Amino acid sequence: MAKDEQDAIGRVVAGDRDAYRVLMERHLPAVLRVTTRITGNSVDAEEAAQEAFLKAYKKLPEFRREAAFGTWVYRIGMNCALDLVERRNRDLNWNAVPLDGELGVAPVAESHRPSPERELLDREARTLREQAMQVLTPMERTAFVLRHMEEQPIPVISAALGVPENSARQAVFRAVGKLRKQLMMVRGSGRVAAMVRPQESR
Amino acid sequence: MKTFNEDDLIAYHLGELSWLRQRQLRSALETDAGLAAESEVIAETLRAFGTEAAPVVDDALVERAWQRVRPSLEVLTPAPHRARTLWMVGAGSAFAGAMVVIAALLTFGHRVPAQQETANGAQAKTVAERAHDLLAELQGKKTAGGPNNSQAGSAILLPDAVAEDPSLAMHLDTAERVLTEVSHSDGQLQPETREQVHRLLLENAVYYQSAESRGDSSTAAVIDDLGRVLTSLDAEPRESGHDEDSVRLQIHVGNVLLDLRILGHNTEKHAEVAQPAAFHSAEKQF
Repeated sequence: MAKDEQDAIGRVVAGDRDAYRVLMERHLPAVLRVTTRITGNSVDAEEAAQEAFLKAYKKLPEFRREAAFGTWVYRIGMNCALDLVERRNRDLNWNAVPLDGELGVAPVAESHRPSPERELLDREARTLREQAMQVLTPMERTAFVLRHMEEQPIPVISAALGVPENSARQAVFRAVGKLRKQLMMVRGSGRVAAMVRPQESR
Repeated sequence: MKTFNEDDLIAYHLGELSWLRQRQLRSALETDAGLAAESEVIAETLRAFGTEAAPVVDDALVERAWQRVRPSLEVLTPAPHRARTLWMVGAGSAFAGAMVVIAALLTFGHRVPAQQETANGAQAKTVAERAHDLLAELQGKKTAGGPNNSQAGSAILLPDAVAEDPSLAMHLDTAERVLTEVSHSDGQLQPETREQVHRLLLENAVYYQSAESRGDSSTAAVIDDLGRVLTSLDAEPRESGHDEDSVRLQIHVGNVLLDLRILGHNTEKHAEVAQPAAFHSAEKQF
């Protein structure tokens, strides 16, 4: 862990609350990225990320200094996002702004300013992807996002979900199977080009 | 010749296969056109869902997040002070405990034989270990028996209902997660877990009624079994944790967990069986 981070943690634990901002500024992007992918909307993603930093702050005196603060808060963020998705699913009145909506759309990183046509296609692709992801259960979605998009190993996912490794692995497989069927349906509607662009191939 | 299924292909594309299995699959892909086509579909699925750009975190966003978090931050007390406080609280509790024991001995005028005390302690430890061992054994049995082995579970499960109802699938997923958490923890339930169990119990009743009215007795049986465990957990005495009732409950949790996992797996297998025709027609469109 970087020395300035260690210093910041030391100052926070000694009572300097404002020193925590250093840690938040540095690790908010990674935490927000994973919460956005798990929740699927920017409003919930921000809420989960803030909750993660708050929880991390409260547990900071127990934090082992030799561990990486970034990894620790990232994992707390995963759990907060999953818990939030499950809470939202129980609360039928909740109507968060989806990624495809006009409001609350998370701006995405681009190396150059895209053309209006490209923006339109990107937006359509995001909409299609988000719609397809709706068929997944929170556990499947989280397992898939963590394994495929965040490239986390199965033991980490299993710990985040609180299930045995085999269950975590099966959740990833089920998710891919379901998404494959969704992709076929999109293909049937002739809109697949928006989702699968040639330059995106690995 | 080795045969490969969808899970193998997904594992291959996600880098989850062993080196040997990977090599076998690669050579199978070279000779089997159908398998290669299915592999390409999975690769395309992963490409389509792996391209989300990261959200941009600018100064305004950091400022907004900080302003929301900052008011909730309490001034932390340094660790040494906390440790000293904890030590004092611990010493105080120990002293109070000792006084209570002495008072009890004086009041009831008899002693618990030291040997019996040790035996009780050993039993409590064995009880906790037995519950954990049982869960491990059940998981091992499932792996050894294979996911398609209908003998592995107490019920033969029909996955139609789960395949057709995402909310039921989600309910079972959440139940599995909560039960796993419960079976891996000692002592009384955390308040949030207890609340989650209570909510699951209420939802469970609805899913049970729905499965019953459909005449889907196998799914109803699993849900009913789950309901019994949830009811026991919901009504669990606060001090429970090491007694025989607790062990029986943990054993029941283990059985229900196994059923839930088999149900989840069978759902996928069932969907696969129903899918080939649709899959092959879709394949032609690539």
